[in-house]
Amino acid sequence: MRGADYLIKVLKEHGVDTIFGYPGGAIMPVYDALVESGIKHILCRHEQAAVFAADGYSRSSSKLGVCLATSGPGATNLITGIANAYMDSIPLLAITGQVPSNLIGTDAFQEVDIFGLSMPVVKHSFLVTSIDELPNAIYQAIHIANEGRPGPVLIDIAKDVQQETIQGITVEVPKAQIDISDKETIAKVVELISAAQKPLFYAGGGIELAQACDSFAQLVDHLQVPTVTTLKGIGAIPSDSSFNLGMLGMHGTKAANNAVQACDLLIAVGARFDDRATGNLEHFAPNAKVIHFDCDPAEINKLKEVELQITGELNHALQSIKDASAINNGKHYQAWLNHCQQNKRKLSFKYNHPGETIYAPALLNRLSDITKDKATIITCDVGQHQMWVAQHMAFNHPAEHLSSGGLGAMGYGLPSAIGAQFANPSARVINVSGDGSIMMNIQELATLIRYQLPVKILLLDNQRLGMVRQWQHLFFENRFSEIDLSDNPDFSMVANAFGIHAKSISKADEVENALQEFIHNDESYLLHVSIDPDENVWPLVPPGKSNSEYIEENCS
Amino acid sequence: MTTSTNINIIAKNTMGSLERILRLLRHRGFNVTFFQANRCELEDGLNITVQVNTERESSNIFCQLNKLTDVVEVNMNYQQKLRSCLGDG
Ligand SMILES: Cc1ncc(C[n+]2csc(CCOP(=O)(O)OP(=O)(O)O)c2C)c(N)n1
Repeated sequence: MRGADYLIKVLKEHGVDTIFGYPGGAIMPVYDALVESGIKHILCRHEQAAVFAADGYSRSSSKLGVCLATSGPGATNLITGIANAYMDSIPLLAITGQVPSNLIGTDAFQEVDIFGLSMPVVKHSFLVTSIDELPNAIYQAIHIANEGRPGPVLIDIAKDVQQETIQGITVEVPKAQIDISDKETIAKVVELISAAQKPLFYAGGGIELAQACDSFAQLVDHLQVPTVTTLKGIGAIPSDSSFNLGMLGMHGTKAANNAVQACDLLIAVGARFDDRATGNLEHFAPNAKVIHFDCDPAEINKLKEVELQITGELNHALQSIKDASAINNGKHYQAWLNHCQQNKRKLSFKYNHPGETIYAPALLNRLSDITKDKATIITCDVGQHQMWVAQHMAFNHPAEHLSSGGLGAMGYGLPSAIGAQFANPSARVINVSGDGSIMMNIQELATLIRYQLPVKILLLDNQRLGMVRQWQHLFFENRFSEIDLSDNPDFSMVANAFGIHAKSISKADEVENALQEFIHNDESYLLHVSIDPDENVWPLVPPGKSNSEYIEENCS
Repeated sequence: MTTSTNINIIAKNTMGSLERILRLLRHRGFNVTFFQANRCELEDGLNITVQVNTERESSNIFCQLNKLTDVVEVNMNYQQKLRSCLGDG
């Protein structure tokens, strides 16, 4: 058996059945091994799309995402996607071919030191230059990508190693280690919550990564503590839960940001105090003691001093806290809960927008309502449309909302929708994109057609790089610089050219019919929606300001 | 205020392990003023002594170093708050 065959065999043994990639010289033995391997290889049309697709596959299924590329340009094209998985802690295996081991370091054709280049954005990496190292590298890579705080792992395999015959395999099978929080720590958490007058959960993406959404939602219901979520935490409890105040931070809801500023106990669960969530950190949750649940000890006390830390396995910790505390803790924070819930009602978003033009928040809110009939996954690109999705659509689970959080990478939406559709063949997968972002991986329309994927694209076209325009408007005195996209192509014609149904709308009274047709069509479909170029995302906490200093429409 | 910190690291001598340690220190805002790496008893291991200057809080780097797959043990002359990497409680 060649090294390449062995790689495929071990991947299959670990349950990998789908790989996203793009071939080339230095990875040819692996592509040869794929033939008749039983693994489904999905040919994307750019390596960046392949890695984003693997990421979307992973986020929407909690399985390992795997992508494959050749050396040199194939490998460098993966970097943005690897960084994206790193920032959002997504378990991902990136496999690259490298020039033959005797040519490494000679500036050979398509030789790039991807091991060195990717170092800052991988959880770990391997450069395999001898067949003896291959088995451990593969086993370790899969283990490291999944264990603890997940992340991307790169294996760069010299071409001769892929071709060489493997003999006498000995592997150290890595063992999973699970830390369990001790009883005293759990008791201290219960005590702090019981003593609090205004407790608040701050829920992040780590809850889903730990597959602890059910335990979390049960604990919230049991304690009846109001909850705010990060962008990645959206869905950790259902959006329509009466305890869910919405997303916090720069474009968070007023109810969520007000609650954070007023709480006296902030219970961070799988969240990392990112600047987009906290605003000015010195003024973040100024009156609160902090309890921090995170499996990564390096996140504890990184940005915010904590009173108590819980690094043990999250399901166990949350369930233990539930078991150890009385239902709603004797209602001594009922007044606080009422206050938060009233705020949520009073300060909720309004969708009655005058005029004939299409108001994107209202359209997204309507889309959210009419897609409740079946499992639906929304993937986003980056910009205003991404924030509108977070604000105006409802989600029951984080795996229904795929968004490039930490990296904020335009171009994520369409490839991640492809990955999500492969992982969830019967789900309705919709990419909400902007006219800037869609062009970053537009070539993937070809992938939709090749695999007959019924992925839907809702393109919110403001003929601008809208989020950048908004910042130039607010913080650079309307000195607009390189944000005009009014010479966009005709997006419907672009879709049609790939063989994809499309429709363009521009008036509010066209929305209902267009959305119905869009979601009920069985094939891929692009709905091109022209919206007002001057629309902004509100509320907004200006960078560097406290979350209590949000500005709204009439203030601009 | 700039402070000087001594860090002792036992690491596996695997491909890239030194590079990862130096990269991490640089990226997290630590200026290396002294660096020594010797083979140590640990099979194929390295005993690394680093002195760093920084204006940053030093405790987090302890956890960050500990997180590197190749790093076996970290000791710092800075004791405060190191607990945070050592489990609950
Ligand atoms: C790859 C990449 N390049 C640049 C940016 C900076 N950026 C953030 S939002 C944005 C505008 C996005 O425009 P569009 O996709 O049309 O979305 P809109 O904001 O108009 O909804 C830009 C350029 C980014 N996030 N990612």
